[in-house]
Amino acid sequence: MSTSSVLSAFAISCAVTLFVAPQLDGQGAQRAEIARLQAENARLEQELSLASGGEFYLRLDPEQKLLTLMYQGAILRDFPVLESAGGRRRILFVERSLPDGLWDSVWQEGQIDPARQFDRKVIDPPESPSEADSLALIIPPTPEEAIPAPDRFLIRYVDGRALEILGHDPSEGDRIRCPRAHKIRCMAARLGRALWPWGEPAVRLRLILLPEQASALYRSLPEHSAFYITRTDG
Amino acid sequence: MKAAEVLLEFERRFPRDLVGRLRRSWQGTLLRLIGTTGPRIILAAAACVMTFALLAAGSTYTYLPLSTALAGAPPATDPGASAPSSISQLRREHQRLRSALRRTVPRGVYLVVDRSNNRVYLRQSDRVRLEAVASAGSGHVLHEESGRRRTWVFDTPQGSFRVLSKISDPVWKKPDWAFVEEGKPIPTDPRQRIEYGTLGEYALYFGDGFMIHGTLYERLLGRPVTHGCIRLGRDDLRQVYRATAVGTPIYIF
Repeated sequence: MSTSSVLSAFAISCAVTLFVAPQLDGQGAQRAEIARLQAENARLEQELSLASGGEFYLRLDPEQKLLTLMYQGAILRDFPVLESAGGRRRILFVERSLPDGLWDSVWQEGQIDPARQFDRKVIDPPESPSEADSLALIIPPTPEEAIPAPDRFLIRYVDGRALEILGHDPSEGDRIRCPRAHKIRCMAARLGRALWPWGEPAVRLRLILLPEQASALYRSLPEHSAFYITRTDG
Repeated sequence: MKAAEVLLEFERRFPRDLVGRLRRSWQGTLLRLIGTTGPRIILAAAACVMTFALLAAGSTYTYLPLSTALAGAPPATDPGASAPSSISQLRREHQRLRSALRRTVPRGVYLVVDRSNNRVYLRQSDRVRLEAVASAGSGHVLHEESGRRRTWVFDTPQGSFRVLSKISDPVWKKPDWAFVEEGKPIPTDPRQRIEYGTLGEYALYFGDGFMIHGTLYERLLGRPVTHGCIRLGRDDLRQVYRATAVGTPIYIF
């Protein structure tokens, strides 16, 4: 091969690199942009269907560290999140498989576990106004007394998903310990859960809130509420 | 049989040191058992503990920070959806969805009632303008024992409502349950149902007999004591009354 033909081959390859490569790169960026927009639109569709529906829902914004209870697009209450972590179930060191699009789909039919105990009081009508006056003197319990909230509870959704809500004061250190008042019961429950793992959800999203926020959420979360994670990343 | 013969027979069958012998034989059996099978028992117990520990260690959750878990998961795509292919179409769709979502968010102020925690929030978009201690429905059940034998459940309703009317110096027209609860006969004269001052300075009526109003018993605020209405303290009620208008949304959860 002559020197001139080598030079011309080199020149052609340079031209290809200069003109074709940016186009290929541009196509890649376009495809990425299409994928991003499709994912974003899918998320917006979900959010819109929740906002247009008649169910309560929780929205987690990981960037803002905020769990928000919503209804028909309106913010009802914010619960600041101290820490969040995604947990995947292992049984005998084998990780359970996760459903597709787990973090992007709406988690449906939330049920609080342990269930709230609320006993309706049935009033017998008094026979005289004086008896009614004595009944009126009974002061009903506060919400904290009526529905005591545990330090840790789950909101179980369909398809083996669950939110694990922990009330934890950061001033008590990083590690989440069993409260002193019922330490043995709490540790026994932890061991029991570990030894009998089949009733536990396949995936758990652990959210740590301040204790008073966690208790308020436990008491007030409406039945069968939904949950989704809002993602604004590219 | 004579009494002396009965006694002899008893002593023959149940010797005096029966209990002592039993105790000795029980201890002996146990010691022999430990002597022969002790190491096996200890080994079995250790194996059980090890198995439980292994099961417990291998049957927990692997936790990752949420940002890592999200980054590792591919976004969900709906294969059945007829996704527009061009970027311009997708951007138009994106804009349409964003504006549709914005339209669902209430404009201006709105009220939020937390029935379980007995709180009322006056909100404007993502800002809380007022958090007030309130009283919501007690959840009690009242049965009428004579007459029409009706049953009332004193719950605050859940869902979305709107302020239908704003009333200054409201007058309470006592419903039947108020008389049943007080052990009084239900009056036939409507004038006997009228009560002044009970509802405080203002009331916001939101339908089906339910109102946000004041109270004579501010010490009970924070406790579920009402028959379904929402009670507020005087100062909070004034602020809420001033900030809202007919049509202001009320969300109760």
